[in-house]
Amino acid sequence: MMEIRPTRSGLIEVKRRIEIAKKGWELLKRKRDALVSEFFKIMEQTAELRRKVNEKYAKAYEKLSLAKAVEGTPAIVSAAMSVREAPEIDVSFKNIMGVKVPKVKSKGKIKRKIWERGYGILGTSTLIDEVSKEYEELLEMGVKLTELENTLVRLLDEIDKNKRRVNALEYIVIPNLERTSREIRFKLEEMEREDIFRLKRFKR
Amino acid sequence: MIFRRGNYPYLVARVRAMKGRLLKRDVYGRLMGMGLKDIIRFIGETDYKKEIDELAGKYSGIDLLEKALNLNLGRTINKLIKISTGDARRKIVAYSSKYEVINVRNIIVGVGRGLPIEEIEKSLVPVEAEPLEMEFDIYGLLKMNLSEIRDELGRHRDYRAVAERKSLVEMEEELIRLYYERLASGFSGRSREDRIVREVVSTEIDARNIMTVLRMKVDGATPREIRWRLIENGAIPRKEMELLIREEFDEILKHLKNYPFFQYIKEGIEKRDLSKIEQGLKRYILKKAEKLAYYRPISILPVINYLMRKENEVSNLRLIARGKELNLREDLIRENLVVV
Repeated sequence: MMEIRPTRSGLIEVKRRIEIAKKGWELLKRKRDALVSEFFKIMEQTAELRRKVNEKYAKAYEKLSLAKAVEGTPAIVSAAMSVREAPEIDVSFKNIMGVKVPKVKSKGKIKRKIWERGYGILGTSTLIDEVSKEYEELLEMGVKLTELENTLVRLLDEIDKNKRRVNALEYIVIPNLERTSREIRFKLEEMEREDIFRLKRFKR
Repeated sequence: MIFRRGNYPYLVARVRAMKGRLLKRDVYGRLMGMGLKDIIRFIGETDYKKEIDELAGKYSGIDLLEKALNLNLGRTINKLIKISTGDARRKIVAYSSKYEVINVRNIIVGVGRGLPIEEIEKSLVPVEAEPLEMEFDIYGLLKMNLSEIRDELGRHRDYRAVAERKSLVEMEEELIRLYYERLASGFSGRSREDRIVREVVSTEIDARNIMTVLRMKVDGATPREIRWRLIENGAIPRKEMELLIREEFDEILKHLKNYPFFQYIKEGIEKRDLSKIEQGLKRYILKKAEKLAYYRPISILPVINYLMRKENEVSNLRLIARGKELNLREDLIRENLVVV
């Protein structure tokens, strides 16, 4: 039983707390539902993007293997090493239902024009262009996928916390408060009955 | 000064025998059905036996095959240089000097990009000739850094323009231009044979230029960005190339209908597939080079034709073996083989 005096003001206080707890419970349930809905929406996008990334990876790898077979590994390695700067990633945050989720973007360009990649055009073949393009697109998709998967993890985390709070309110806090309320009412009724009995005895 | 014509009858007879040992078309089909080990075993029983046996102690698998193919090609060219005299020898050396440029380019690119020496060596063709003809000790260049290589190149007249380029990319592009200049200058005479070889070289230059234009236009390059990369002495006049580089990508594709190689690249144009266009152009060049074999049987032409077919064979074998090693789909390997 909570530490509340079994008085009328105590009962009023408990009733007030029950109302707050129930309102809180409603709000948290609504938040939970909204988070779950957002989660499923993003999960669908993520699953679709993951599927595309897997397909793209297979295609890029096949193109790379073909380029190695036609041009030779030294030519491919040399073209790959001509790209000196790796793209930089910028991570900022946005808010979804009060949850801080990442916004991942590349600072510079990931997709480059053929003359920006750093390998000679005259001495290389179209295959190298195609491999470069596939991996650039894969990298762009990878950046987006990182953002989405990270968002899912954070949302899931928040849904979990939220669920615990909702459950705590539903199964512990509110029942405890209601029990306290019943006990106080019972106590008050007892005290009233005692008073009435004392009064009757006094009148005799 | 008397120019010795060259020992063409003897040379052509030897080349005819060597040509007989080139792999026939149907062999490629058989190789496609084999695994890598069987391919190496099979090639080890052909004209490449000596190199495979020599290198088998030090290398294995695809490394063995690549090294053996390059070594065999280099030795074939060196043998032709050794058994030829006079004008014939001069022309074979002129043709094979393109390998010096290829080797220098591979070394510059490899050293410039920090590749290990063993990787760079894999791409080198060991063509040797007398000190008079060959300018560098290629393997000496491998031991230098980029700055030292640039200094060394600057000491040789032909390579000064390369040494003066600021960036690695510009040096690469300049080396490819030098490659074609060497080829063209080796056959700059007024004889019909020289004109025919120049025609084939010009066609190769056109193919290179067209692919450069298409590849850059796909990414929206301006004429200025394309112009400095165009190689001179193609069959397509410079003025026409200038008009081409000002067009949009789709207009250029339409324009290609006007050229003799259109049938070879038609499928690539319809599918807007630059790889297919590139392969079509390779086939066209090889087909054109076939006429070298028949026009004048006792001349340098059958020798050049043989060399081009030999290079193509090495390239095809490399593709099949590497393709098998990388578990590439068979149809992809077949699509990229150049068989005439």
